[in-house]
Amino acid sequence: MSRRLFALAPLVLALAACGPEDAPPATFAAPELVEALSELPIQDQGRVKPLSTFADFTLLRLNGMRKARVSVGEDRTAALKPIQWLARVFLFPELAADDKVFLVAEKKALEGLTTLGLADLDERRRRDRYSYNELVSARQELIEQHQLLRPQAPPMGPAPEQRTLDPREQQLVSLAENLVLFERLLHALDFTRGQLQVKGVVGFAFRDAEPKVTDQVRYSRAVRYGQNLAKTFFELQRTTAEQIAPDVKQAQLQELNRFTRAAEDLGRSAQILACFAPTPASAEDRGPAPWLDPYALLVQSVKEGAGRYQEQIDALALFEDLTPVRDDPQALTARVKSLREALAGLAEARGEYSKVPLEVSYYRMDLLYRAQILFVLGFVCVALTWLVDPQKLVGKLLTWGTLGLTGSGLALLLAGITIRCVLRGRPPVTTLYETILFICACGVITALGLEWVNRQRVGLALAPFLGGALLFLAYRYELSDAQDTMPQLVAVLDTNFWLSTHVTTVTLGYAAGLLAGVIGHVYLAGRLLHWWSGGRWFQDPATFRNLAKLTYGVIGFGLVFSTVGTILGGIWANDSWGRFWGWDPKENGALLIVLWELAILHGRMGGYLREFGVCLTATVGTAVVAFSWWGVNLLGVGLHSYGFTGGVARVLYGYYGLEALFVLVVCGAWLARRWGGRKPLHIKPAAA
Amino acid sequence: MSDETKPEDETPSETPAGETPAAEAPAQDPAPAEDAAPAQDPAPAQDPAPAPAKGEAPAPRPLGTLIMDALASYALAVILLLILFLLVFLGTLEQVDHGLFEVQRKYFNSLGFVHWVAGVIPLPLPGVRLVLIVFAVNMLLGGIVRLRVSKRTVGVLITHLGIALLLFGGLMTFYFSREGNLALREGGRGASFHSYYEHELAVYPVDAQGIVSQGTVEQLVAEAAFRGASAEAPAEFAPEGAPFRVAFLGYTRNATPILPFQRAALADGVGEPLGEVRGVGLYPLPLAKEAEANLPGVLVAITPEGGETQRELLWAGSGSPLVIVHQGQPWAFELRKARRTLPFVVDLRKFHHETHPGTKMAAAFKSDVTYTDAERDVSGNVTIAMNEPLRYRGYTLYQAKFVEQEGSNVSIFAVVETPWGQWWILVGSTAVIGFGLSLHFAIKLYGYIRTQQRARERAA
Repeated sequence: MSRRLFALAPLVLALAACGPEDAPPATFAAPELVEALSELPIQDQGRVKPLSTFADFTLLRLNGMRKARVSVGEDRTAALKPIQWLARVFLFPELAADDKVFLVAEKKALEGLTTLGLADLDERRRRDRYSYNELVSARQELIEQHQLLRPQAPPMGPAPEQRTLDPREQQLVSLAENLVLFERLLHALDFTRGQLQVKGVVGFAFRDAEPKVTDQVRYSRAVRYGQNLAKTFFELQRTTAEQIAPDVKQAQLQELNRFTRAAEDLGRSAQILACFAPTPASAEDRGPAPWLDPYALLVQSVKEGAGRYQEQIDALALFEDLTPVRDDPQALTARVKSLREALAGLAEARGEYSKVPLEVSYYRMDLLYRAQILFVLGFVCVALTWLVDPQKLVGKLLTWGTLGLTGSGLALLLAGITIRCVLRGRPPVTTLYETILFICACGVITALGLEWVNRQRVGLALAPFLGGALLFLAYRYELSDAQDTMPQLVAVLDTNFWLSTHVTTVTLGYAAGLLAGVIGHVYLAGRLLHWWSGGRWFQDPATFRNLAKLTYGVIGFGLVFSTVGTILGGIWANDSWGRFWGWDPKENGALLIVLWELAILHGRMGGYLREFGVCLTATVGTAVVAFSWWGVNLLGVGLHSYGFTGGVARVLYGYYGLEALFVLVVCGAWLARRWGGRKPLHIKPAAA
Repeated sequence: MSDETKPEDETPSETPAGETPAAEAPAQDPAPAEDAAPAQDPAPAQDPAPAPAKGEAPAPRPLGTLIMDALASYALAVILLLILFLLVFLGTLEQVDHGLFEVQRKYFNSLGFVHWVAGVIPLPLPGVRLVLIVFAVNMLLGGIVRLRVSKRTVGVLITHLGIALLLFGGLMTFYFSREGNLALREGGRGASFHSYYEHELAVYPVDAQGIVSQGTVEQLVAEAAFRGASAEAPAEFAPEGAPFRVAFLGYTRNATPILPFQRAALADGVGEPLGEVRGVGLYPLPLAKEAEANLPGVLVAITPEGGETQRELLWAGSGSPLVIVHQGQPWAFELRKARRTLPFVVDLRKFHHETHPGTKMAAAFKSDVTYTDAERDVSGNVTIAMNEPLRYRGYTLYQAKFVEQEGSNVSIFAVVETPWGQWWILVGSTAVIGFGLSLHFAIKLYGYIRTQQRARERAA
């Protein structure tokens, strides 16, 4: 959290140091330009998204953060937003190739590369950033390593077994993938830079072109006259030796081939730019369809003629207009705007553009980050109330302040979740990332509900704490995963009914289990402090009784949702896979929560667990929830498998370790007091 | 289910099943070992161990009552829940190394098994099936039969009834449901499905080219009938209508045939062959991780009427049946996945596979089918998709897999034969459990809010 704030400081300084006026063109500092670039639509991973979202997650993958530090002139650097960085890669590739945007977390991975000609590797930190030009000498070796470590399935045959990789190997694999991805971006606008040489018979294909083609054409014109090229080729082939001498014919055919190959090469290097929505064939033809990229446009134009693709080719020509004005921010802004109009118009004809500006706003507003700040401030506020008398004015002000901050944080979080629902047309939880947001919101609401019921400032303290902690977790997860958090769903998840019933109830169950666990932690920590201080702190037994009752209540609340959610999951499975219960790890994880909570409640009813016991078991219950929520995904088996990264495993094991330590310390202290002849849980009234 | 610690102004009305109410248990520990404020908790939860355990019960009670008490006790409930927790946890972790099917057989469907802690320490444990049986008894006795119904316990009672219904549904499914798959080519028709795991021996007449004519009656022997067969205790059958006696002399769940020239390359792990016929041996293999991949083999002695006994090996993976000619009529012997007939015919009209635009990621699989039930004169056109199965006459067809081929695609349906009403039991029990739990905790919450309000009013 605070790291993130500090990380922002240089950005602010950098922006202050070089305002938009004197910023070099390769930083794309003009806000209007940034906005227009952001709102360019692109189809990526099966979904239409703003170019800024594409830039965000691409840069996250490469650089491990949402900004790129680039050099602007002698000794000066600037921190670029992802979309600014992407525009730089597109339009100033020669500069971008020197930007250090490849995060290497394990230098060991580089040291093993024999072909890497990097003189100052020894001086680099273990975790450092490198530029494309620094790494490119080892490109081939990296790709070979990738093939060894992550063998691809042969065209007809079983997929080879994928073994687990150690951090060094993972680094090699991701570096190879990132290098190739970066190259695709670096060359994406190559078609706007070069011109295609028109010689001899090639000119015949452009005979109808207005204005007349002399010695060279842009790529978009080659696309427009693609079918003429093909026709010319076949007409030439049909000619007889009497009409054209065989050696001349051969030379002409070769010339045509050369031209087509050159055009194809330009097109292929731009394949990442799937920005051109196809024109609907009929009034009913709306909604998702594969979008065209510059290469697909060429292929279609050759096959079917340019007739159906005029608008797309016009838009393609607008791309070509960008490069000549790359040094002139004003002209560039105007041209990016007209490109945006063209692409948006194409997308809108299919009804696929309307959500793009909303998504740009969603990321620009950064609601979750702001919510996180509010939660942290709320927690600071509530912590201050512990130092003053809550009945006095200061105390009351602080209490209301906490409530206001937490409430505002919650409002922002809910707004964020709602916008995501609108963007996706889905219920709130469809991915692992969204479970964090939803659990966070539910946890905060439940904690505030507790406060409303019980007015002891327990819920009030827990609400901002949970909010801040879980949003931090969401932020870290998004960083480490570096994948679009609004991906397309696989076929089995394509059901809003089950997503909104089963998934939300089970997730609410997680939230309640976590909240109960957190209250349990507070109880146990209070006990520890009470013992440690020799009974001077937390002298009021009612405080503890109160906490234990809250823990119990939240467990009950959680049990309702966990149980119903788990069984609903069974009914869903019964509808999609043909069995109610299949002992799949994720199903078992949910069942474990239910069993654990049932055991607590029955143990309490039977008198085996009292305050201390309920809170201790609820604390352990947090680990059970963590196992179900994250742990089973690490097993790598079963039907509910999601992608996973090494970072999550480390955090999870770290958490298990800390939790085990805490529980051991508490139990140890309890036993020590018991053996010491004192009643470990007896609290003398304050008067003593 | 549990109960809130009683507020001062209410008397305990719920007697935890099978346990001596506090008033009747003078032997109860006067100072509970671990409560913070006994003085303010006048009716703490009942003594953990029922009076008899203390050895100083005021009057000895009959053994039957003691057993009933124990079976209905909270102690048993907690122990069972914890054991279940442990079993589910271990069974989840074991899946990483041993695959779902094996784990399910060993941990979940069994009465008892040995778990190897870290691979070296044997730990005998009850299976989930056994635990669930005892659990059901415990819940019925303690949570339903002996529960004193009041405002405080009505939600608990409803919840327990719902769980009983759910367990009953699970039991029905476990014993009566059968599953398999049905693969259809576009334009193709099917009226039976293949079991995933079960096999059978089929004996049927064929023509000289080995082709089965329409309407041929097959004689079947289910795998269960010969699974325990050995040379010492052969299982014998005389399939009706076929002029043969078949004696099973050996069986192995997963086998592979090995030719003489391959024998040198045999790994050490391979055991003794099941038998050898004409130089080919059928060798047992370790079980496959995916249970569907197991290919059983049998050694049989086939005696035609008035003919000589011949020993043969049959293997489920052979792909073509063994043919024996008897009095000019060829007969096929085939060890294969068990086939089950559907009471209706399914025609696959068209299979659709939609991907998310520009990717290979599946967005939807759908099969347009027509089902025709000649017996009841019912037919219909439906689309089977993920999350949208076809349910008809106790059978449910799900979209499971597909094979895309140039020309015509093959769609593979999972077929489950479920006892009547299974779906309604599931939905009904969910509703009952949800209602019961919500009711219980709503009553609790209401009581808690009221005491809190009163406390605040008193303080004010």
